[in-house]
Parts: sequence; structure tokens; C-alpha cells
Amino acid sequence: MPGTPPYVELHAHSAYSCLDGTSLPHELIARAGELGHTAFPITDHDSLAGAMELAMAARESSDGDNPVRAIFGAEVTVEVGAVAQGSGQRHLTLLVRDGAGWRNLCRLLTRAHAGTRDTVSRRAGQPSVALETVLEHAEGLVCLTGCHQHGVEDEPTARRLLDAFGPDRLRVELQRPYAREDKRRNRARERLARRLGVPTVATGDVHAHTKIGARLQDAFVALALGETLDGTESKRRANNTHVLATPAGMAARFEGYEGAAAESVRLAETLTVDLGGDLGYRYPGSDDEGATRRLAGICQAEFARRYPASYARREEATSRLEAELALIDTLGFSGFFNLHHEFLQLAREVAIEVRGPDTVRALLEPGRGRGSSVSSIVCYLAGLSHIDPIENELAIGRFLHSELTSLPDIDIDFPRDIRDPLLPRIAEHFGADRAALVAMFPTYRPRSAIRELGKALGLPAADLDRVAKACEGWGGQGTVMQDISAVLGAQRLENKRWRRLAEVADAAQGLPRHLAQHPGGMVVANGALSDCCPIVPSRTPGRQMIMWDKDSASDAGFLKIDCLSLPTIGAVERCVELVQKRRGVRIDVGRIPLDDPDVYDAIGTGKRLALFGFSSRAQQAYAQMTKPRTFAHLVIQDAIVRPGANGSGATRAYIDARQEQLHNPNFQPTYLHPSLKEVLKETLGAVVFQDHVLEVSTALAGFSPGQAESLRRAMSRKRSTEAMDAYYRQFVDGARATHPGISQTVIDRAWKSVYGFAEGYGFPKAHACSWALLGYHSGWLDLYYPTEYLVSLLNEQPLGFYAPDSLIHDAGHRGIKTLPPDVVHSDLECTLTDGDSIRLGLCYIKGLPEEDIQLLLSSRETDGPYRTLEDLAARGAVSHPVLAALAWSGACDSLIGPGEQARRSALWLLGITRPAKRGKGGDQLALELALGEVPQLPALSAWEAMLADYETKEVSIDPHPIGLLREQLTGAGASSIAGLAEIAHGRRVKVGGLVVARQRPETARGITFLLLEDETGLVNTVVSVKLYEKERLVVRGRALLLVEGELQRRERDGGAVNLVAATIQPLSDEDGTPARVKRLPAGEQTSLGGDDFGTVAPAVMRFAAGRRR
Amino acid sequence: MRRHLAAPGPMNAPQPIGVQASARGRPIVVDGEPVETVNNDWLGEDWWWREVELHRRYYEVITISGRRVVVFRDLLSDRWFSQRM
Repeated sequence: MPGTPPYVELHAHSAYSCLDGTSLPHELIARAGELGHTAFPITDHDSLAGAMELAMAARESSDGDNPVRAIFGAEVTVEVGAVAQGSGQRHLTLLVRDGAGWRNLCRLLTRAHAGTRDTVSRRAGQPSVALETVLEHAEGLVCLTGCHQHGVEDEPTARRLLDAFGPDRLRVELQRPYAREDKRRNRARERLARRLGVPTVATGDVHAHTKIGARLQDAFVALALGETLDGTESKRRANNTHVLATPAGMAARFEGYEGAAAESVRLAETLTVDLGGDLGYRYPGSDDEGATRRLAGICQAEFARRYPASYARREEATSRLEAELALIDTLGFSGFFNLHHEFLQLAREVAIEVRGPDTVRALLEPGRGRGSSVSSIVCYLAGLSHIDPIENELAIGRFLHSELTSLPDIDIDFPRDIRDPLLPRIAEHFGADRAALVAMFPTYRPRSAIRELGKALGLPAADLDRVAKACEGWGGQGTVMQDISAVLGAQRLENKRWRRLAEVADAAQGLPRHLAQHPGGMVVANGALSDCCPIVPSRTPGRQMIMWDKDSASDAGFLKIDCLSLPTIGAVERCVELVQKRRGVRIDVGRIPLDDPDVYDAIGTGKRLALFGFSSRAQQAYAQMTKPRTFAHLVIQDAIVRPGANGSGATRAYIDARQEQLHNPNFQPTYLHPSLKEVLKETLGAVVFQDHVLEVSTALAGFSPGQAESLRRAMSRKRSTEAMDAYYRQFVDGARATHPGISQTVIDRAWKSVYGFAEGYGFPKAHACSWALLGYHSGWLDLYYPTEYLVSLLNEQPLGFYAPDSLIHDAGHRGIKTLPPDVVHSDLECTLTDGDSIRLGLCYIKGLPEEDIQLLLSSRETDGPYRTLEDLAARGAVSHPVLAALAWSGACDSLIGPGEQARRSALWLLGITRPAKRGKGGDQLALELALGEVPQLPALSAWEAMLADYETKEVSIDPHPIGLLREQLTGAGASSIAGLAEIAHGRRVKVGGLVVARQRPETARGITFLLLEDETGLVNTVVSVKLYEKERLVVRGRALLLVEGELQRRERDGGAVNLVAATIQPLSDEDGTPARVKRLPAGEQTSLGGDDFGTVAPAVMRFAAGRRR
Repeated sequence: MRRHLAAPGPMNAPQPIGVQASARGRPIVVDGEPVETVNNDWLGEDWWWREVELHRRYYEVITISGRRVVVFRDLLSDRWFSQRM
């Protein structure tokens, strides 16, 4: 828009003022540009979390029709002490003028947040800084006196600000929110400005870029206050004037204060800092002139061991190492690699402390590489990866190339017990002010948005709960409306509150809820990090994080090292250690042969539940279809299940080609274009890996490495589809220039195959390789040491796709016996008995604090095994509620004798046994009284015992709930799941089952998959869109189902059995099967009486949401 | 004999009032009295979740007799009301 606008906004909040702003930075910039703004700020409450996103959005806008310059600042909460307008907190709007101002604002906000979690709960408190601290950090900042309601209006404080900021950088802020008192307030503020001798400046205090955003803002205020919209009228904004308006409209609001509007334009011209420039960040070692020599030395020291003279491809390895070292030197990244090596050394130190020097685990590296860095021979030799890139044909291009402009990622997975102490060790090593975790921003999810916003709207909690349970997730605007209509009926939408709920719940999609710590992304600097980005304490004691997420940190050029925790590594290590202890066999995981046909056979059955990466419903199905026979097949297998490959059609294309190949030894894959033959040879013509995006765009569209990498980066960012669209034209032009005469159809099909990776994530080949190796190792251990491996898995929970309940049931089918927790025999964790059974640990009993378990074990160690229940109670190791929990879980059965009365008898006895009390001078032991006979108590039915098992342990070893219903199911004509093997394809069948996984992947176009388990096995059930809509509440909410439908067993599916549901109905005790048992045990267990099976059922795996009920 | 009590109405309910407004919508005559000055004006937009929403433009005026009156124009019905505040 030509000409200078009459007003520039200097005060606006984004959604990063969590619960006080409803627009994302890019939405604000886009809308501001449309309305004619030439510059736009974000001044979030005590936060710069959205600053880098603002900078990037502004940079993107510079190429468009409505360029908007970013202005950076924050609304800082200041402790002003006792002043004329009352002691307490006021707000100041601080705007960044230059680099010194940015550093000072970062330091100020770091100070504001320090100590905000110094409570037992470590919940974040209100950040604030003392006025004196603001005055000390005034350099480079412009100070506006603050917002309409909370700004500084008293002259003594204003004069102190004037002394610090000077007349050039202090402005008295006027706002016109069309509230009742704002004219009077502005008159007073103008008088204050005159007395101070500084100008006034007009600001808008924007909180939303649309009217719906303003409504959501109202609901957020009610939410923050824990009240309803009806009850918060006086506490919310009175109108919608906080919605972004045109510059002319804003200037017009300040009638009589035209100078204040004009001053906003003048002042904005002085605020020129650009976050896209150098923030002064440097990583440790970045200026080390001897870095390349040092790195080469590290690699050479290992080269001879990894590639001995006898190795056939030694020359290739030598050339690869030389080329990589030269490239790293040219890019100036040698220090970066050395720094990661330093991290690894720290991890090795931690590992020795954790594992002890003499265990078989000590043979292992402390972690395993993941991600694209696994393709690097330098990483392999420096110990940062465990995958040989020469042997596995891994190309370096996805990780490093000559046109790289930002630091690549080197990620390492650690077992939990090493990762947890490693993070504070890193901070200790580099200095607390130089190391911090990256932040992440959990966003509003559909269920919480419906429940919370619905509550603010005063809607009935029971109805909200039904809609929330049935909601499907964000599928675009209007989805909540569909959910309400489906669950409560279309008539409910005649009620305006429900319509508004749909509107605001949709608008909440993707907005940040709060700041949280990234699981393991760490930033280190060679100077104070708080000069570059504010640092805030994390909820975990001893940890802190920067205020930016991984994208913003990357845009700032920060070096992020991912120290992630991967529990399966812990399980593998535990298993290796257990095997050595029990059998004296020392397994060197690195030397397990990768060509064991029995391992591939096991994976190909699609029936193993505990293999890393090969046990999900989809992976099992694909493995049955493609029958992997080599490690290279496993690598592809790991990648085709990802949404990127699935969405682009590569998954189906690979499966079809592989099946053709299995049936026809002379099979020749077809390629979209001859130029892609070399690139896609291994995957039979399908674009499976992220690397393929780079390689296809290079081979077909002639992209340079830098162009291809930019395209790849665009895919993995937020709003990736928009970013990708910008590359389409380059792709088309490039393909035509590289291959004259190429058809538009071929170009478009090739584009579609790479575009899928923008719509869903995909794996780089190197990463798939790393995960496939762990998958193979887990498969090998599961095949040869199944009992030790299962114990290890049970002790590393939560991990994997299946809950312990399913793992234990599956193990039972394989002949592995599991025993329940027992106060006489169990340890804290699960153990192996002499008879090769698994004894569950006491940690499996819910609600038992680890400290109490240790006291029980320590008493057993010191005073011998518990002899009777009275002895257990008399020793006084634990409190009465803990004893009751033990009794109800069945863990005291061996003290009282088996039988259907055991648990109730134990509770009876504990009710009359007085446990010892803990005192200052030690435990006062109660006398072990002879308690006499237990009266005849009602027996616990098998159903009740099973419910008690799930309630107390989330595990029912035996019987299976469906087994208890078998008689009725058989009467109803239902087959067992194992029995389906005998039934022909296409026949109508009925099956009753416990839902152990429920998935509705986006790539499945509305199809829902349920994995049903009975006492004989598992079956995958397919639910059509139509049936899902009809039975949504049952499908999404019920744990026990009776499904009738068509049995499918096709050759193209590898013989896998699927049940295509025609009808679904709930199957549980509350529906009368079997009859409810109303007799309740005494004491604490009364809650059981009101529960149906659904309230105690084990966790269900949900797509992309992990395990939860 | 017991008398039936009328159901109580909302407290401080707005009362219809005659207002002449300028072309820009500001009151110039209220309840027959010319307006001396408009002290304050503000905007109320709320109740977006109720069947009847609230859209009001308020003015606090002083009439030539010195009377302070708060009037508002209901932007949905385009009618004027007074309200004690």
C-alpha cells in the first residue's frame, strides 16, 4: 500500500501470551499486511516466545504484496513497590531498538522468570522484575508506560523511568479501548506526559486478528479465572476493539490526540533491530582453529579398527572419510562435530557411573545415533553413530552438502537411566548460564478444547464429556460442529452456545497452551545464552529451557543437540545383562549377525508384539505382505509405515512391487522416469525415504543440493504445505529444463510423490537404518531369549505399542508363565524365578510409592521373609493404606493361603491389625497379635477378581475378561480369535474382544482400525466410516466389544486375517453380561462398586497419541 | 386476602428514552433537554453466546440543566435507552 500510514501498532499480543491472545505470529503479520500496516510488533506478556516466528513471518512477507516489518518487544510485569497508585505490579511495554536492547530484554525476562517455579509443585508462577532491574537494563530499549489497565500512571515511578530511558526513549502510552474510563485516563496520561516533557504515543493492545479470535479471547479469560463467560462480564474486555484494525481506523480512534498517533509512526522508525541478523550466539569450539585437525585425529584413531586392511571396501571408506572431513572443514563445522564428541565423552562418564565398570553393559556405547547424521562416516568413527554408512550404502547428502547454510542435527538416543543424569551433567560441564533445553509448546487438543471452552460457555459437563470422548481430532474447520451433531443430534446446534463452542474450539486449534520442555533438545553456547534468548526454569528440578522451540532455535542459528531417551535401548541392555547373569552368555549386540533367517521369519509372521518398530498394527500387516528377508528390506519396512510415504502412495507402490518380486524372480520394477531408476532402484521405484525427495528433485528437476535441501526443510516445518507450494513452480521449470519433452503428467506425479512428505513426516534412510537395527536386535533377543527380553520390557515401561497386559497374554500363548506381584517373593521390579517364570514386581501395584516398596524389601532383607499377614503389619514398614492396596491386589495371598476368599480375608485381618507407627526414634513395632479366625466372607467371583487385578495393576494375568464371557459369547454364536484361522475367507463371523488399540490415521481416509484381543489372540478389525459414524461412542469409548462382520484373508495381505465389521455393540458387565456383583469388600475398596469394566480397562494405543484409556 | 406479587424484573433495567443524535451518532438532545457536553463514550459488545447479543454504544452526557445521564443506542434495534450507572 503506497504512502506512510497514519499509525503504526506498537502493542500487540500473540497466542504466546498464553490465555491472553489468540493469534499466531504469522496470522498477525498476514492480516496486518492486508489491512495496510507496514510494521507490526508482538509484545507478549513477559515473553519473547513468538519473536522468532514473527521475524520469519515478516521476512516471508517481504516477498509478497503486503510486506510488513517486525517490531520486537514484550509487556513486562514490574514490581513498582509502594507508589502513589498503589503498591504492586504494573506493566511496561518495552520495545527493542537495537542489539543492546535485545540482549537487555532477554536478560530482563530471564530475571523475571527466575524463581517462578521455586515451589514444591513447581508450577509456573507469575513472572515479574523489580523496577530497579528494568532501570539497570534500559540501554537499547524504548519504554512505553503500559497498557490501559495496568500501566504506570504515577509521577514518581514515571520520573524514575525518565531518568533511566531519557526523553528520547520514554513515551506515555495512550490506548482507546472504548471502555468507560479511557477518556479520563488518557486526559490524565497526557497531563503526565506534559509534566515529564515527553510525547504521548498511541497503541492498540491487539489481542486477536479476527472477530472469532476475540470471542476465543473472552473464553480464555473465563478459563484463566476458572469461571464462565456469564460470570466474568466485568472482568473481560467490554468489546472487540482489541481486534486488529486498519492504521487509519486506529488513528481515527485517537481524536484529540493526533500527535500520539503520529508519534507511533516516528517511534517505529527507530525500532530497527532484525532478529534474522547475528544475535551474537556462538557454540563452544566454533572459534577453535585446530578443530579440523582434532576431528581428523578422532576419526583416524578409530578408522583402523573399523576398517582393517583386510576390509574389501577400505579404499572406499578412506575416500569417503577424506571427502567428508574436507566438506566439514569447508563448511566450518569441525568444532560442531568435536562438540558432539565432547557430549559423547560426558555420556560415557555417566554410563560408567550408571552401569558400573564390570557389567556386560559396559561393553556398549552409551547411546545410539539416530536421524540423518547416521549416514556420516565421521559420526560413525567419532562414536556418534553405530551404523556403518559404507556397509549400509548411506549417502551423505541428506545430512551434509556444500550449500548447507545452517548447522545440521546430530541426534543420539540414550537409555533412560543414562539420559536423565546426562542432561544436568551437560549443564554442569558447560556452565548453567550457557546450556539450556529447547522449549516446546503443547497446543490445544480437541478434547481439552471442547471440555474447557464448553465449561466456560456454561454447557452441561456430561454432554461435553460425551462430545469430547467421541471427537475425532482436528480435521479442519467445522469438525467440532460435526462431532456435536453426531453425538448429541443436529438439533443441539439450534442452541447458540453449542454453535459458538464449535466456532471457538475450531479457532483454538494449534494455539500454544503453555511453555514446556523439549524431551532432550539442548542448546549450548560459548557465552551467556540469556543474552540471546530468555531462559526460564523447567518443571523438572535442576533443568532450565530457552523460551524458543526447535524451529525458532534453528532460525536463530542455535546449535541444538538432541539427547533423547529411547526406552527400548534400555530394554535391550537390561536383557543382555540378564542373559549374562542367568546363562553366563555374553552377548555383544554389535556383533549379532544380521542375516539370521529365523529372525526374518519371526518378523514376517506379523505376530510378534515386542519388536521395536515392527509390532504396530500397520507394521505387522506390512511385514506379512512383504516378507522382509534382508536388513535392507527391514530399513524400507521401517520407512513405509510413516505418513509421508503413506500419503504419497509410496507404501502401496512398494508393497505391490515387493509382492510381485516375491512371486516373480524376474520381476523388473517400473520407474516414473528413466532418470529415477538409479535413485529408486532399492525401493522398487517407490519414493520411500526423505533422501528420495532430495534425489528425485535433483535427478528429475535438476535442483542443486542447496535447493533440494531447502525443499526438504520446507517439508518438515509448521505450515509445510504452504511452504512447499512455493517450490512447485521451480520443480516444474527445473524438470522441463533438465529433461526437454518430459510430460506434465510425469512431473506432477513426481511432485505428488515428494509432496506427501510435506503432509506427513517421513524417515531419512539413515534414521530408518538406525531404527531397523534396533528392531532387528529386539527381534533377535525376543526369538532366542524371550523370557529375559519380556522381563526387560516389563521393567522399562512405558514403551512400545502394547500395554504390559497384552505382552503378558501374548507371552502366555508362547508358553511363558507370569506370576502376580507377591509381598513375599517380588522385588521392586519384575524378576525371573528359578522355574523360568516371570514374577511381576511390586512396582506394578498402582499407588504404591517406591519409597514404601523399598521399606518393605528392606524389612524382608533384614528380618527375614514375611511369615503371616500379622507379621507384615506388625513390622510397620508401610502405612495401612499401602497394606490394604497390597491385599486387594492379591500380593498378600501367599500369606493367607489361596482361595476365593483370600483378598477379602486379608482386608479383614488388616482392618483389625494395628500397624506399627513410625516415630522420631525409629519404628515402634506393634505386637504381633493372634487374630483368630476370619469369619466366612463372600467369595470373590472370577469377574470381581479380574476387575480388582485391572484396578490395582492394570494387568490381569489370568483369566482374560473375554475368557470369562466365553460361555455367553459361544451361546451368541461368536468364535474365538484363534478359531478364525479355521474359517474361510468371506464368511460372516462374530468375535468378542478387548480393545487394545484404536487408530484412525489421517492417511486411511476415515477408516478406523481396532485391534481386538481375547484369551486366544489378536485380530485386526476394520470399521467403515459409515459404521463409525453410527456407533461412534461405542467404537471410541467402550473397552469390550462384540463385532460381527466379514472375515478376510487375502493372499495379497500375506494371509493376514482381518475382520471387516458390519455391526459393533458393547460387551461388558454393565450391559448385563455377566450380572453385577454388588457385594463389596470393606474399607477403601468401595470405589469398585460403581465401576464398570471400562473404568479399570488397560490402556489403549491411539494413533499418534500413545497409550491411554 | 393474599395478593399475587408480580415477578421481580431485572434490577436497573434499561429504560427507553428519547434521544436526538448528530450525524456522527452523538446525542444532542436527551429526554427533551439539549446536551451540554458528552463526558464519555464507550462501546459494549458481549453475550455472543446468547440468543440475543449485546451491541451498545454508550454516552455519558451532561444536559444544560446539569443532569448527568447515561444513554445508549442499541445497535441491533437502533433504539435509545437510559441506564443508571
